[in-house]
Amino acid sequence: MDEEKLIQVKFQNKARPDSAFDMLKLEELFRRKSLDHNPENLHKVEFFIILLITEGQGYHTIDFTDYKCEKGTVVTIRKDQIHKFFRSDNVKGHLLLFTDEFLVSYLEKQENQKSMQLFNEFLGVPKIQLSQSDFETVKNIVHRIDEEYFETMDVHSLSIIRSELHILITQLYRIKSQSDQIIADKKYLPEFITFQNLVENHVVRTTRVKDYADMMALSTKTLNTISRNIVNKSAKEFIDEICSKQIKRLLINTSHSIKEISFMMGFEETTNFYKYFKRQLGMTPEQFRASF
Amino acid sequence: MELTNKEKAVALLNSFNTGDQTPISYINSQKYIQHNLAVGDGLEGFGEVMQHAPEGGFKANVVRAFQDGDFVFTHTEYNFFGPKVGFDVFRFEDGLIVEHWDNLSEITPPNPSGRTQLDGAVDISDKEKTSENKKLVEGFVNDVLMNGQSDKLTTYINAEKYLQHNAAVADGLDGLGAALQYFADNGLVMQYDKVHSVLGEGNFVLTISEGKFGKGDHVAYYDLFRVENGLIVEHWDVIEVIPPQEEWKNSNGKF
Repeated sequence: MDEEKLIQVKFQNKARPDSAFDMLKLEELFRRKSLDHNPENLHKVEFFIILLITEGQGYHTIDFTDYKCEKGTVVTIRKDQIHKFFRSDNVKGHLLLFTDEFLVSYLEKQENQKSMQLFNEFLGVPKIQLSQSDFETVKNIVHRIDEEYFETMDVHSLSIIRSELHILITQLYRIKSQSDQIIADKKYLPEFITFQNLVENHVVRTTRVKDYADMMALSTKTLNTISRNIVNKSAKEFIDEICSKQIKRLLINTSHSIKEISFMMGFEETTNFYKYFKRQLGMTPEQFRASF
Repeated sequence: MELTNKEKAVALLNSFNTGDQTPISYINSQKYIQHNLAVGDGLEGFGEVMQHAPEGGFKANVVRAFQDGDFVFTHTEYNFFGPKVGFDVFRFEDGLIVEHWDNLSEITPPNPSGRTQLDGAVDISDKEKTSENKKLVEGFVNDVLMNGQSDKLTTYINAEKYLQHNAAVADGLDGLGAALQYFADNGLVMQYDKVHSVLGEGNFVLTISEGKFGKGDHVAYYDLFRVENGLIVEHWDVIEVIPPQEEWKNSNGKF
């Protein structure tokens, strides 16, 4: 990754190195001098983030969209997404950060899958605008975590925070499903998530539907049914979407040449890369890059 | 870490609420071309207005903010001698504001479809389609609003979904048709004579035009459109009467 433009942010809790959870106020983040990256730059994170805005107005960029943020906005960012803060003195909010291990390894499989669904941008938009009563509920949980983390902090605190975080995620998931903002409890959802994970990890190596069907020991027909059922796209269309997204992230957030990106994405010939991109996006990679 | 031009413009408007003096430094003190005709030219003109702020100051709530090259344009709810809605356009040179245009009008109650002048979509996407979307909107204003080619309406506007935020007009093509009919029946005009500027970021495009409105008043039209899959799906506007030249506080013109 290009060091100048895209900053890969590893999880590090300087105050409590043994904690896989951290929390801070947005207004402090902008004031932090010791950060090794500028939060206003685009950066790719290796942890999960929940951002709750309590005051003010601004934007938060995730991948290719600027989400408007104001009082009661919750933004969820998952590992590998690229995001950027809009700096504004009047925006106040809480930022909760945690790694895979902090929550995932403690939950049984089904609960864990549900938690991860909240962060999955293919199943719903990453922004939730809370109603006044939902805002109070969510704010209360966040305040409890805040108190536990900054005031109490004893040997039990991380366990309590872990449970509170699980409640918070479940609450947000409920709010999102009640407003039909998330694809939930659908047949084939677990299989789809498996498919998505495989594509995200292997898309550089293959974009063939057959290869993914083989990995999952399914027929291509079944894989198509699964994909159609959840995202209303054929398996091939879905693979292409993830592939395009990874190319777009590289185009916008790094200064690698088109040739390098083509190679990184597993294309043997740059001409094929051009053809592929043009077919997917209707423009050349240069045009796409120039428009951001 | 230098702020982006968009962050600076938003900070300047927010400073109405806080009285924070820092954002004033984002304006070039040597060159600030003012197109709000009720305000004097330069930073002095701006300072003069701020000095005359009523008790409690002015209020500004930036609902939308966009950037297109050296331009930042915003859609804001104001309390500026009463509740107002406004569009502002700022031009930057070397990170400083050197020129400002705006259009303001009074806030009105929700329109026949229950929409206000400021609510509706706010998230900015499709940034790779900015120039395509600007062309589409410019085509609409030229062909339909300026040259009256209403047969082309559906090549520009989504017939199934057209969310209207104009204070007097209802959603959809029917709403637009009814409004135009009302105008015609009552001898009123909505005439676009010239498009001065087209600015956009992703799925949002702002056009600044000059024409005649109502009983023939000389007006500036600021129209904000949202585009989805190559068709216009949402519209906001502010129409402001241009005062006669002898009342202008600067000589820069409205556009």
